[in-house]
Amino acid sequence: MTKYIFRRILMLIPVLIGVVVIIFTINFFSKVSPAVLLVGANATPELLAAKEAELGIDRPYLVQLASYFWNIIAHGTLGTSYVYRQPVWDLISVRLLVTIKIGFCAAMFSAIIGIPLGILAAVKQNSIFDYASTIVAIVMAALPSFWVCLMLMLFFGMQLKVVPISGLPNWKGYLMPIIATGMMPVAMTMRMTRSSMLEVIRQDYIRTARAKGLKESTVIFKHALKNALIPVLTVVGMNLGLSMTGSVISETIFNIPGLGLLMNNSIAQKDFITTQGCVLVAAIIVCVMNLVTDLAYAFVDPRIKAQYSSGRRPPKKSGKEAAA
Amino acid sequence: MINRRAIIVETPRTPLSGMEDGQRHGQFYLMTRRFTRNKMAVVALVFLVALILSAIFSDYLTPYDSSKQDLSARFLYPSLAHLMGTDDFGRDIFTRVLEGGRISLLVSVISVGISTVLAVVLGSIAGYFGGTVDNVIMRVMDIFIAIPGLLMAMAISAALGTGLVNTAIALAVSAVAPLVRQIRSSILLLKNQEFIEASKAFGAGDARIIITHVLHNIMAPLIVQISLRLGDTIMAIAGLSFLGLGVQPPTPEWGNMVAAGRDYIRQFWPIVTFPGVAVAVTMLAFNLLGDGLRDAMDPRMKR
Repeated sequence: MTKYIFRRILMLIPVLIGVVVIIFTINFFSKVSPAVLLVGANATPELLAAKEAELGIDRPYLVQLASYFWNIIAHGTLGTSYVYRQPVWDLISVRLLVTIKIGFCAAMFSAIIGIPLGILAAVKQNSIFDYASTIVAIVMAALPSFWVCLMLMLFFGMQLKVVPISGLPNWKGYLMPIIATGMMPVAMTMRMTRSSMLEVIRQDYIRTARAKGLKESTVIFKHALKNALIPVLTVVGMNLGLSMTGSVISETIFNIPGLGLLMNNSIAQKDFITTQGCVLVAAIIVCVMNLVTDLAYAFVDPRIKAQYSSGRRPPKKSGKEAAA
Repeated sequence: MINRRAIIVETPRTPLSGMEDGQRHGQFYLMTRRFTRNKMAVVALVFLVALILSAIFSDYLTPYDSSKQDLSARFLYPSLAHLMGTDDFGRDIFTRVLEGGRISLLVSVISVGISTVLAVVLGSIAGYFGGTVDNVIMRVMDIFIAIPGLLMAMAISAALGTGLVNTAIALAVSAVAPLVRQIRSSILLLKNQEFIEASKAFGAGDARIIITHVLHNIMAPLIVQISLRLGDTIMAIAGLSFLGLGVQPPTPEWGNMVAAGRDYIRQFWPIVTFPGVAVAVTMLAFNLLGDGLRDAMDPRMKR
């Protein structure tokens, strides 16, 4: 098991190097030079060139890429922001915790709401509750998050005045972004729980459990749920990664000083090196979350654990499962 | 208390395709029949056709011009003259929502088109040939999958600049990798089946096998994916435009209409509500259509 975890972590390195190369390439070929905004549109070409030289963005592609990597390896920083004149990592590190809090709470929120509702919908299949919850899930998945944010802000922030409409003056500031970010994950978790529960409920061992005369609640919670929750775990894990990065929109609307707002501002200010850092950190979060999900799988499902410890190659997650 | 009967009594499943009909009718007929049984999907399809028609003919549907400002008619509430009211420049919101639908659909179709073509090419090469080619393509796709879609699209459109085509390209690039994975895995399932072997034995070349046999067989899941992707892309366009990175005003687009109306959200509800509802309903329609198509084309997948 330890060997497997170690190998998975090693496998992250080439992926992250690839992420840096891709995002660096995108920014390198940007049509607007970051220096333009710093020196102003009316600056002379000499001034512009001087600024570019100062920022080091007049060097050839490979030199810049190499120096970016060197910064990461030797200094542990992600370069220096063009606008703030501070190491990018310092900018990110103070904001990262806010985004992690929102993302984690949104994923938990989606699990706490989505899993029980999904179980209920499956147990009472074809009842009014089932139909109603399915419709709610479909509608929730279709609502654009920026619009949900604005409506939450209008209703709870402006009409009822129970939550702040901007920033994080107190803990209540987290509520709206968490709900807005968690909207889509709730719907996904609920539908996944329902369909996976329905699949399990039809299996023979459930029939056996019922035939033994077990209480229905024991059958559902002790026998069915354990197996039904395994695929749900993937969705919750995916939600963790997604909502940490999906908070760009809610952070922008509620003006919350997190990674998303930093990224959005850095794009507006053409501070590409900060954008690069934000994307890299987001990619690391997603990769780590995927890894944690895969490991959690092994803990929940003894069959998978047995595969790891026997030294065989673990089966890859199929595309269907990941997409469902 | 849990309703015991609901669990024990299995719901009657809809007959798969009507075996006795199988001889008389073609696949397409059976598929259409299964599709039309799903009322929600049919409603979604009708809505989408109406949306497409209104996008094409939006110039003739309303007497207003989407960009014509009329400062004497600002902030009018919905009425017969202005079905959705007017915005802060006195422009008819209904006209702008229709026009925005045209832009959203256009960008979405271009973007999904680009990503599907790329994904089909890469996915079938990786899946069919396997080996080193497969490994190289899939490792590169792993990298793309690690970057969250929205962030990738934001970074690309920041670099390329905003505008219709650039937005489409940004969203296409950020959507390719998951689709490649999916196409590859469906091809892997097909690759070793007898009919592929048979056509090899007949001397068919790789290109011919891929185009006439392999792609033909992954069409059904691909069409479902395209339908779902179209919806997702419309949502993503709106998101990007809302952040100011997609379609720019004065071109009306649902996301940038919401962004422009943000400041008036308190005093005048129609300005934010209608474009938002438009995104939601369109997304909903594409999702329902996708679900309906999946059930119709592959009844085994029905949940």
